[in-house]
Amino acid sequence: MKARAFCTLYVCVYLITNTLSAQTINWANPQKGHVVNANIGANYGIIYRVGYGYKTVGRLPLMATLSFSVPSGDQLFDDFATHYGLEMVFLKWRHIRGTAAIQGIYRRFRNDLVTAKNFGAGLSVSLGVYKLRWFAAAETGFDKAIITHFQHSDVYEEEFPLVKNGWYNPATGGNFNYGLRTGLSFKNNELTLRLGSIVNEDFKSKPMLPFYLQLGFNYSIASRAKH
Amino acid sequence: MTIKQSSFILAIIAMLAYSCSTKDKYINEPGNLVPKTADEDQSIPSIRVNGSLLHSEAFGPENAPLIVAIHGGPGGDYRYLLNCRELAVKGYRVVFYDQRGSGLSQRFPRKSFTSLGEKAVDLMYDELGAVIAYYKKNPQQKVILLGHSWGGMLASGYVGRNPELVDGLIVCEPGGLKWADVEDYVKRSRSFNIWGEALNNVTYLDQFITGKEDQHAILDYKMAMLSSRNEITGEADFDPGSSWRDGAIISGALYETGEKYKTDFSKGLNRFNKPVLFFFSEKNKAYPDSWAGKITAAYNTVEKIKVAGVGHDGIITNTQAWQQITLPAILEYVKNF
Repeated sequence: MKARAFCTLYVCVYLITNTLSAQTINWANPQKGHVVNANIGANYGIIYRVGYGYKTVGRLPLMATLSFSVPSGDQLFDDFATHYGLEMVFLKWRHIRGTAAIQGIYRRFRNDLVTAKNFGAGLSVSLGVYKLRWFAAAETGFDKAIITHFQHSDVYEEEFPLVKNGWYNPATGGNFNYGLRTGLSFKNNELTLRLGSIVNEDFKSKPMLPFYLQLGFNYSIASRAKH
Repeated sequence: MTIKQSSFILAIIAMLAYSCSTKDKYINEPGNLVPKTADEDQSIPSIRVNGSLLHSEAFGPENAPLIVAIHGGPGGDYRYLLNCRELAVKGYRVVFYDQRGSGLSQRFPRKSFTSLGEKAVDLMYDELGAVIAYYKKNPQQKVILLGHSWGGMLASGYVGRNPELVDGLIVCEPGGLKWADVEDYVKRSRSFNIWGEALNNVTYLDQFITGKEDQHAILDYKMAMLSSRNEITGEADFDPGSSWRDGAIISGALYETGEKYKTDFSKGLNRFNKPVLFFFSEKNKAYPDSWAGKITAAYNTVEKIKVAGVGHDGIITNTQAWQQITLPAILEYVKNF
């Protein structure tokens, strides 16, 4: 029952926030409009990701984003993640920008033993220098696996017949990340790089892949701005 | 403040409020994702030795020569060794136990191992000695150790320290006996293509489940998911395998202390002059003939048997190989005891 309530809440939040994943863009770019991007990197696996965003302009611009990612492997879509949410500039002083992002996450993991589906949330902030041609910022964030559904395979159930399938909460996991994001801008294009470390929420243990590295390309399609 | 900015803040508040609430089913509750241990479920057959409640069973005549089956890992359990029960039918007393922190035996904090430094492994030797003492009914009763993988390393280490207490040693593919060999073997047997599915199966789950240092149920479950199959050695791949519950803490702690203090499982083996029976498999790609030759050099007298058509676990878990090769060789070896 609680799980259903959560799903309802989650969908509401999703609709309110419009969608996104924290995409790495140059906030000094004065244009509003669409941004499509693709990137490859390491983030809990070797990851391929495509995304779309819509950026507003103004004193404190916003960007709504949506992305879909899959890890490399023989079975390309057995594991995947979707990120959706908003990123906004909350601090603007000369070339310095502070940003905050909130993401909704839906992801799936499947192996021979289990299929796990998870609704999560991500919060992140960044602070850095943004110029027309380049940007560099420090970032930190938190990824919380809020509620997870486990459905075990016959193989696992043969080993442990009493395993309890279903929704598990409270939160089943959480990781912090901290690192850098940087990029170069030219015409409507941006080359971006994110890298940093990931640590468990207990600040002691680390995931098997304790770092992230993401190389991306953004292409902007400007909308006609009203001044 | 714009509508979008208000929505943004509302969304943050909603998510934080929900994530702070409490709920239904906990992943760290034993019996949900992993079985309970002997101290949590009194129906599990167990013995208490050295302050630890161990999941353990014995089959066969009480006064017959004792064959102690020692499972792999560290952090495995004896379920996959149960074919060895047939030795009881042949007249031997066969003992199984899950090592402390492994299988269905009691769990202990990580620091209870790591704080011992290089003596952490002594806990395991002492425990093996206590299990033998528990089941040995008379001083004349012969004792034979049968160790698989890490169990073979533990058995060899125990024999090296107590050659007078053991009458026979049977080992199946111990990764290494010197620490450098252990590291080498682990690296070769666990390596995988970074673009392949195996990497995801190991790393992707970390964003779904995280466990704190001594949350055994979570960490044991994750270990089971991560070690679900191995195409190099054949574990749960081309070899059948089965287990009750992994022991993540004991596994990590013994590997950590082994790496730090370069544990040597071959120490004292030159004092053990009885013949050793050594099995290795044909299909474990990390265990070629040359590796078997290198590892067996530590024993004074050894008979090597290569088991065809199987991998690391299949030496015992593959019914055909067990019936046609492994069991007859063991019976031939133990017939004089």
